[in-house]
Amino acid sequence: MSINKMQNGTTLTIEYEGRLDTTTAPELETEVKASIEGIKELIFDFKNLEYISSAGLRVLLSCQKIMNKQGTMEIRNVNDTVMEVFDVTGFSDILTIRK
Amino acid sequence: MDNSVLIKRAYNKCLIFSMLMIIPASLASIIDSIFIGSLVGPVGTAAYGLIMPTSIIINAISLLLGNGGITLYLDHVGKGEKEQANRNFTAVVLIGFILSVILAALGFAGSDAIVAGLGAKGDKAYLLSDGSAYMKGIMLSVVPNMVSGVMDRYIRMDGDDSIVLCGTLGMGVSNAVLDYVLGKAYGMWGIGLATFICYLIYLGIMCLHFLKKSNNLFFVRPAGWVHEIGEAAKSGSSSAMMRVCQAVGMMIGNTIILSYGAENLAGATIRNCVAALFIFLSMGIEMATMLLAGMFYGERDKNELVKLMKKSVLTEIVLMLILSAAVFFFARPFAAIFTHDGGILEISVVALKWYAVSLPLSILAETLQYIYQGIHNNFMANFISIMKNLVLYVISIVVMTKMIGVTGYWASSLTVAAALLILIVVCVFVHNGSFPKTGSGWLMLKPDFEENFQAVWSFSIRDNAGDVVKISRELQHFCEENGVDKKRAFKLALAAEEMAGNIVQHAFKKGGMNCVDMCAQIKKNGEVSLRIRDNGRSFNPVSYVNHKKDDDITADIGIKMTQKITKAMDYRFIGGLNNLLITV
Repeated sequence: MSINKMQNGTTLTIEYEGRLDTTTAPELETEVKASIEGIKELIFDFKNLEYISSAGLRVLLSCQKIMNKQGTMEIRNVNDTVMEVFDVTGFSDILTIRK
Repeated sequence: MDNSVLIKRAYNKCLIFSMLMIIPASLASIIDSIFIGSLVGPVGTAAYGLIMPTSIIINAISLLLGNGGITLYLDHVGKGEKEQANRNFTAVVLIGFILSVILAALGFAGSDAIVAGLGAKGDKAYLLSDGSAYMKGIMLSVVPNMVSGVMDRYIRMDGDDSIVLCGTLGMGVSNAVLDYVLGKAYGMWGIGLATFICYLIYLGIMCLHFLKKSNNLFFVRPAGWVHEIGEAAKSGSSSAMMRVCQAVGMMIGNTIILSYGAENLAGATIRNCVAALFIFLSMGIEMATMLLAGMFYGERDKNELVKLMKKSVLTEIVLMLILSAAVFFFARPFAAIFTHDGGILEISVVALKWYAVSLPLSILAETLQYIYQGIHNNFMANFISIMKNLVLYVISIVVMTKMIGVTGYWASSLTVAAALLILIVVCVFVHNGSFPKTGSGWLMLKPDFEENFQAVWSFSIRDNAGDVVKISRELQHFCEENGVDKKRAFKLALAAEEMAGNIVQHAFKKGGMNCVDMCAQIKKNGEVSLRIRDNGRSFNPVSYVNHKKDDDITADIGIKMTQKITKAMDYRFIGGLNNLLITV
């Protein structure tokens, strides 16, 4: 798993590589929360996300709740399998996702 | 870690527990018979044998309600319907209580008529006095017997095996003491009364479960009880029917042997009591076999089924050959425990020797019956039971006694066993179109049952969330390495993490010997499945819906997701283990 954070003004882009599961989700949450103050646009680039479980979805929802108060959040480059997880859980209705 | 940890534990637990459960019950019957033989005499022993079918009928009603009720109860528990589960528990116990009060009142008031109807009339009317006195006590015991007989299944499924075991042991010990004290003072009535008090003690110990913090069983307003009782009766009818056949067969057998004199009925009673002494050994193996057969059947694992059948049959035969030899060569000392009457002793020795000769053959058919029950071949299981206890039993006794007199009655135990085995072979021939040459031939499985596996992966974990993620990763890797497309490998790994994570987080008791066995199978037809087995609390994720949390998108998200991304999910609760089969 690797997390690559890039900040451009009030825009924070997070590139995530590997599996987002019960073990790795808390690490992502810690990293995001450490950098989210003052951010108006949060972007997750999931080009190299191989796997996501409910633990990962919970972290994304938690981030979305924070961004609802201070700006916007977008998820980009989602592969078909991960997209299916977003669809069956109803997360595609509450998150902004670009394939 | 090998993935058979839970199977071995469940098998041993079931084997030991079944044996321990049946020892006191067998002892109770044996102790009654010993005290009747020594305190009342041969007439009492014959009268006791005459009444035995009544106890079996009472047991059949308990089975009808108890076995059927518990199946529905577990279904409700598995779906998370706690209120409905307790409604089921309340309805079944309440109906058991009402039925038992009616039966007890009728039986107590009409004890003379019942005993006369069972054969104590005409020149055998001298059996009426002792029979009726004992029957009155037995009828009093119907209420605690039936209520506890229904309740103990629920308490066991509520995770309190220990209290059921304590109750059974308490009942066995108190029975011996009270039989002696009350039997000496009041004869047959005293021994019957002792049975009533023993069941009250058993019921009292069972009720201690309700005081425990871990108790999940509560009496609630029994709404929809007609439906619950109807469904319970339907589900438990098979077990009850077996007992009814046994009781009817015994009644007919008693009538025939009684026509040769009460001393022969006393001999048959002693034979039945010695049989009860050994039955716990075979019952333990049979119950464990049934449990495992059910599991392997659900997993479509033909090889394991065949191995299990061979192992069980071999164990039973070796055990029964040893027991047969013991009964055959020590028939006289065994019989002498139950009677001091010289005539009855000689009859009992003959009866026991015939019983010993028939034991290995009859146990073979019995083992097959339990395997068929385990693999859901109810037709064969019921067929063997009805043939063994009623049809072949009655035909054999009638024909054999007509041919060679009373010896035919004793020899019929051997002819029934032999005829039954021949009938089973005929059934197999009709089904398979050939005689059973291999182990799998006996199982009579459907042609599409066997599915060849391309690759199998198995693993066991304890209650550690880190291990859950580790095995999810390994499983995904295993699938991809064996040619499964990325999408399905992802889904299977996700189902493994969500389901096993749920078990580790919610199903286990702290400090318990918790374990999750997992086994993934890639079949040659491309189908991929994952079996997850655990010893946590009963929970059915297949039909679980939590309406209270509809507005929370993350509530039970792991279960909902698994339900939607998988092709099929099948859940069963067997032998205290949750068994989930997922296909993607």
